[in-house]
Amino acid sequence: MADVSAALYNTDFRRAIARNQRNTVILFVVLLLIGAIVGYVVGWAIAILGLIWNLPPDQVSQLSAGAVLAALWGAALVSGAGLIWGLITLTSGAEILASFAGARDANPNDPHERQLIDVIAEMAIAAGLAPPRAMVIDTPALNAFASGSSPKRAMITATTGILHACTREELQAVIGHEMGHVAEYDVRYTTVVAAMAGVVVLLAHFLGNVFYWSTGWGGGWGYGGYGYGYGGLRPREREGGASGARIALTLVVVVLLVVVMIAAPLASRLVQMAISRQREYLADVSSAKLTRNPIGLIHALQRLEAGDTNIARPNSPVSALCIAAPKGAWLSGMFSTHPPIPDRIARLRNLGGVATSEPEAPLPPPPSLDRPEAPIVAQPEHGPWDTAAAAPTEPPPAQGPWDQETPPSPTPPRKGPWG
Amino acid sequence: MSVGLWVVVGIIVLLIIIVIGVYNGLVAGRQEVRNAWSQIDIQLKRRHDLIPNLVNAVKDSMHVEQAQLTAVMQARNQAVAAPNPAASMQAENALTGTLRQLFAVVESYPQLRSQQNVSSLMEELSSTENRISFARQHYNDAVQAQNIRVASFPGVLLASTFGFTSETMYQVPEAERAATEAVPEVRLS
Repeated sequence: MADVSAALYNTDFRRAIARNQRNTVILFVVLLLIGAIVGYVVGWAIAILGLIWNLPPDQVSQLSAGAVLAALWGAALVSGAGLIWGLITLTSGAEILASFAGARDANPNDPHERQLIDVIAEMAIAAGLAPPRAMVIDTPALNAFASGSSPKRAMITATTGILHACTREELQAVIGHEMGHVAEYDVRYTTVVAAMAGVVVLLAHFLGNVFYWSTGWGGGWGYGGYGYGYGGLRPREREGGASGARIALTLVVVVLLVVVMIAAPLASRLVQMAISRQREYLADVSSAKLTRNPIGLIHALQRLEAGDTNIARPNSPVSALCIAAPKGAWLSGMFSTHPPIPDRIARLRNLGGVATSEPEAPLPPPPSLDRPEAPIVAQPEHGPWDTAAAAPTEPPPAQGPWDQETPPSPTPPRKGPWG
Repeated sequence: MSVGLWVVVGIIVLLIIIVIGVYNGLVAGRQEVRNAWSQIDIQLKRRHDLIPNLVNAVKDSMHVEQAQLTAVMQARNQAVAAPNPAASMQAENALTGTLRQLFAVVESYPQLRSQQNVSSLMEELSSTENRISFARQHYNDAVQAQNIRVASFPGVLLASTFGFTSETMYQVPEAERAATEAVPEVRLS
C-alpha cells in the first residue's frame, strides 16, 4: 500500500487528461470533416445532375463553377445542421435520460441507497462540484450512468444490482468515474457528437433516396438542392436524347453517391464510438484522480466484467455514459462505446503505478448491509471506516478510504496552511 | 491609416484580451482555493455536530467503555473550542484518532451495530470522515492548480503585479500519518 501511494505522487493526471482531450478534439474535427465531405458531395451531385439534364450537351462542361458553389453550400449546411441538431437534442433530451431508463430518487432510509447518496456527496466534494442528484434503477444488472447537461443539473444513476454487489470502496470508484463524466461535460459532449453522427447517417439515407429517384433530375434544381421536382423521365428512357458526356457524368455522380452513402455513416459511427472510448478512459483517470485509489476501480471493473451490465440497448445514448457498456453488441471493438475492460484495467494499473504482478485474487464477496443480526466476529485489523457499514465477516478490502488522505496531491506538499 | 498602424492596434487589442483572460483565471483560481478551504471547515463542523449524537446513542450500552466516550467528547470539545487554526488542526487530528477507536469498538459489537440509529449514525459519521479527507484533497488540488497558474507563463508576468502569491498546501502531519497507518487498538471489556 505504501508503494501505491508513493507511485501516486509520480502519477501525472494532468498529462493523461490532456492527452485524452487532444484525442477527442482530433476525432471531433474528423467527424466535422466527414459531415462536410458528405455535404460537399451531395451539393455537387445535385447541382451537376440537375444541370446536365437541363442544359444542352455542349454546355455541360461549363458546370464546374456552379457545382463547386453548391458543394460548399452543402458542406456548410451539413456541419451547421449537425451542431444545431446537437444543441436541440441537448436541451430536450439529456435531462430526461434518467427517467427513460426507469430511474427513481434514491431512498435515504435504505442502507445501500444511503451509501450511494453519501458516496456521491463525497465525490462531489473531491471534484469541487455541487452533489448531483442520486438516482436508482431497480434491476439486478450492474451498471451506473451520469446524465444532465451541466454539472449543476447532473444526475448519477446506479442500479440496485451494483449497489449490492460492490464494496464501498468500489462504489466510490464507480461514482468517481461518473463524476468524471459530469465534471468533463461528457453528457453535453456525447450528445452533440451523437447528433452530428446522426445527421451524417440521415444524409446517407437521403442520398439513397436521391439515388432511387433518378427520376426527378429534370425538374429545376436550385444550387443548394432544396426541393426536388418529380415528374421527369427515368434517365434510361431519355437515353436516346442524351449525349455521351451526360451519361458519363451521371455515372460518375451516381458512383460517388453510392460510395458516400455506404462509407460516410460507417465512418462517422466509428469516429463517434472512438470519441466515446476516449471519454471512458478519461473518466477512468478522473475516478483515480478523485479517489486517489485506482485499485478500487480495478476491482469494480473486474466485478462488472464478470457480471451482467445490460440496462440499455447497446450503443444507445445511455450506453455512452455508463460505467460499462451494456453487453450484447453484435460488433464489439470498433463499434463499442466502451474500451474493453482489460484495456481499462491495464491503463489504470499503469496510471496508479500498481505493480502488474498484483495477484489476481478472487474479489471478496460484497458486503451485506441487510443482515445486522449476522453472527459476527470482531476483525479490527483493518481500518474501521471502510467497513463501517459492512459485515465484518468479509475479508478486509485492499484499501480503505483513509489512505486517500495520505497522498494529498501529486506534488509533495510544502508547509501547512496554518504554519 | 496605414496597414502598419492597424497591425499595431490589433496587437495591442489582442494583448489586452490576453491580459484580461489571464487575470480572470488567476482570480477564479484564488476563489476556488478559498471555497475549497471553507468546504473543509463545513465538514469539520458537520463532524462536531454528529459526534454527540453517536455518543448518546451508544453510551447506555454496557460494552462501550465510558472512558472512551469521555475521550471522544473531550477531543470533540477541544476541537470546537480551538482558539486558532494551528490548535484547531491539532485538536481535529486528535479527534480523528479517538473517533477511530470508538468506531472500532462499535464495529466489534453486533448488538450495537444492529441498532438502526447507531448504524445510520455510523454511516453518516464515516461518510463525514471521508468528506473531510476529500475536502482536504480538493483544497490541495485547487492550490496546486493555482500555484501552477501563478508560476507558469503567462501568469507569472501578472501574478506579482496584481498580488497573486502561491498558496500553501494542506499537509497531513507525520504524527497523523503514522496514526492513519497504525491499527486502531480495541479494548474488549
